[in-house]
Amino acid sequence: MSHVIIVGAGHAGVQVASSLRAEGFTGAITLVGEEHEHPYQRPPLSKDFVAGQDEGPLLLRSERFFAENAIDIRRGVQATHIDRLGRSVALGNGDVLDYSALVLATGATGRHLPIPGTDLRGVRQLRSLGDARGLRKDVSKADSVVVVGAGFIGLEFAAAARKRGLDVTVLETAEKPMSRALTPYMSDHLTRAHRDMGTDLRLGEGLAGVLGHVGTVTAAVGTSGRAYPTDLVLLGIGVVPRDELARSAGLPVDNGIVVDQFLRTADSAIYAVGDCASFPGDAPYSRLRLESVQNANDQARHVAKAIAGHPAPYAALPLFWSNQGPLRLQIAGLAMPGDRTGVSGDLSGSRFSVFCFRDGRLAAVESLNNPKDHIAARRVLASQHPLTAEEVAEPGFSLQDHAKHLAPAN
Amino acid sequence: MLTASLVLLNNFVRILFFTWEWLRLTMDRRRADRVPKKRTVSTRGVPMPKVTFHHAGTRASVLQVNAGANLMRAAVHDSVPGIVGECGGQAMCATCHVYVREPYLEALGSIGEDEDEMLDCTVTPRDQVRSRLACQITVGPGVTDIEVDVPESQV
Repeated sequence: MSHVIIVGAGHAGVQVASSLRAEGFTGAITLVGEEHEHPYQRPPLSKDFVAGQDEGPLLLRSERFFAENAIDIRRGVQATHIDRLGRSVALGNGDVLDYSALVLATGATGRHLPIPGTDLRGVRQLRSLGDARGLRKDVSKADSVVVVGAGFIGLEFAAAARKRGLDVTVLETAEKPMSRALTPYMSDHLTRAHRDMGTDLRLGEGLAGVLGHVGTVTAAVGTSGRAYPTDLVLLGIGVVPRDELARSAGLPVDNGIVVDQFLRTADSAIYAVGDCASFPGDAPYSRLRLESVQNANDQARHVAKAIAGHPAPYAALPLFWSNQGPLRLQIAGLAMPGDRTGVSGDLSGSRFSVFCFRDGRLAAVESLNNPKDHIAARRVLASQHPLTAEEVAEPGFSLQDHAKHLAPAN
Repeated sequence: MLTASLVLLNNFVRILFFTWEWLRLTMDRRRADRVPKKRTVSTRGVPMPKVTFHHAGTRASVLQVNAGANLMRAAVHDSVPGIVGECGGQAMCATCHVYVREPYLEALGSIGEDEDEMLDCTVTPRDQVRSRLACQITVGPGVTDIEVDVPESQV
C-alpha cells in the first residue's frame, strides 16, 4: 500500500498533497503540520494582515478540501524522527507512520539574534500566523516601531506600519536594502521611496541591544551606539532552513536539505521542497535555496509528479513579489552582483523595469509597478531564446511586444 | 510565616497567569478553527448573497457568502476549482481571473488601475467587457447575487 507522508503544512506541503491527487495518486496521504492552525497563506501576514483589519487569515484550501481528497491532515503535531531503514516517521504524539515516500516541506524559521534584550515583551518576529496575530495586537497599541533588517518582510511591515501612522525606524547593517536580492538601481529606488513614506531608514547600522523596563521593550540600541526609543521591535533578519529532522536522519544538509535535480535527498524515498530544500542551480549557482511561494508551489507540483510516476529534472523560472505600500515589486529570474543592468521605463518616476544581463543574455528582470513588463519577462525568460543585450538596446525595443511573439509561459 | 505566605501568593499569581494564558490560547485556537457556516440567512435575518461559479462541462459551484465578502477569498476557502489566488489578493498574479455574466456587471465597481493592467496578463484571454479579478470584487452592498464563468486555465 503506498503512503505518502508530507512533513510541513505550509504552501509547499499543502501543494504536494493537492497535486498528488490532481495527478491521480490513489494511495494514502498524510500531511503533518506543527501549527494548530488550518493551513494558511503566509505572504499577506506581513502586509494587510498586520495593518489591522480584523480579518481572519487567508486559507490555502478549505477544511472540506482535505476530507474530500482523503488527505489525512494532522495539525499541532511535530514529526520527531525518521527511521530510514524501516521507512517510518515518528510523531510527537507517539504515533509511528510507515511511508513509501516521504516529502520534507519543513520550511524555515527566523534567524536567532544572540543579542541582549531580544526576549523582552514587544520584541517580535514575523513568521507564523501566531506571530502575526501578536504583532497586530502590539501594532494597535504602539506609537513607534524599530524594524531590524531591510529585507522583504521588514520593508513590507515598515510600509504597513507607516500606513497606520506609526513612527518607523529601520536598521540595516548593509549599505543598501535587500542588496542580496536586488540590483543596486532597484535597491536605491526603494531606499528613496521608503524615506519618502516617512520611514527613518538607517543603512550601515545593525542592532546592538534592546533596552526594557519591567520586562517590556523601551528602546532599541543601534551599533552606532544610538538609542531609538520604541514600543515595538520587529526582527526581520532572515531565516534559516528547518533541516534538523533531515540532519538527525543522516541526510546531507548544506544551508538546507540537499536534494538532486529530481528534488530527491540522498535517500531515494525522501524528497525535500520549498524553503528548506537546497537544490542544484544553473551556472553560476552550484546550489540554490529559494524562499518564495512560486518555488514552494512549483517544487511541490514537481515532486507530486515524480511520486506519481513522472520524474523529471526540476527547472522553473524563479519568481518573487513584494508589496510595500505603493510599491509593487515583481522579479523574474535571479539577479546577481556583477550583472550588467539597463533600466527601461520612467526613470524618475515609480514605474520602471531593470533588465539584468549575464554573459550578454537577459537573466532577470525586476519590475516596479509594472506588471505588464513582469508578465512579459516571464515569457521571455522561460522561452528557449533568451534576449541579448544588443536586441534590447535596439531603438524602439519593447519587452511586451517581444513577448507577444512567444508562446505563453508554462 | 511571611516567607510562606509570599510563596503561596507567588504560586497563586502564577496559577492565575497560566490559567489566563491557557484561556487566551484556547480562544485563539477556537477562533482560528471556526469554519464558515452554511447559512442562507445571516444572523440579522438579511438574505445572504449567492455567488455562482460556472465551470465548462461540470457542475457550477454555488456559495452563500456574507455581505462584504471578497470573491477570491470566498472561492479559495470553499475550494472552488480554477480560482488560484496565488498572490493572496494583491492584484499581482492574475490567477483569480473570472468572466462576470452580463446581468451582474453593472452592480460591480469600476476596474482599478492595477486590476486593469493585470487583466491584460491573464493566461486565458481577457474579455474587454466581462473579465475581472475575483480578488478585486467585494460582494455587497449593492451586489446581491453574482454569477461568473471560471476560465479553463489560470497558470
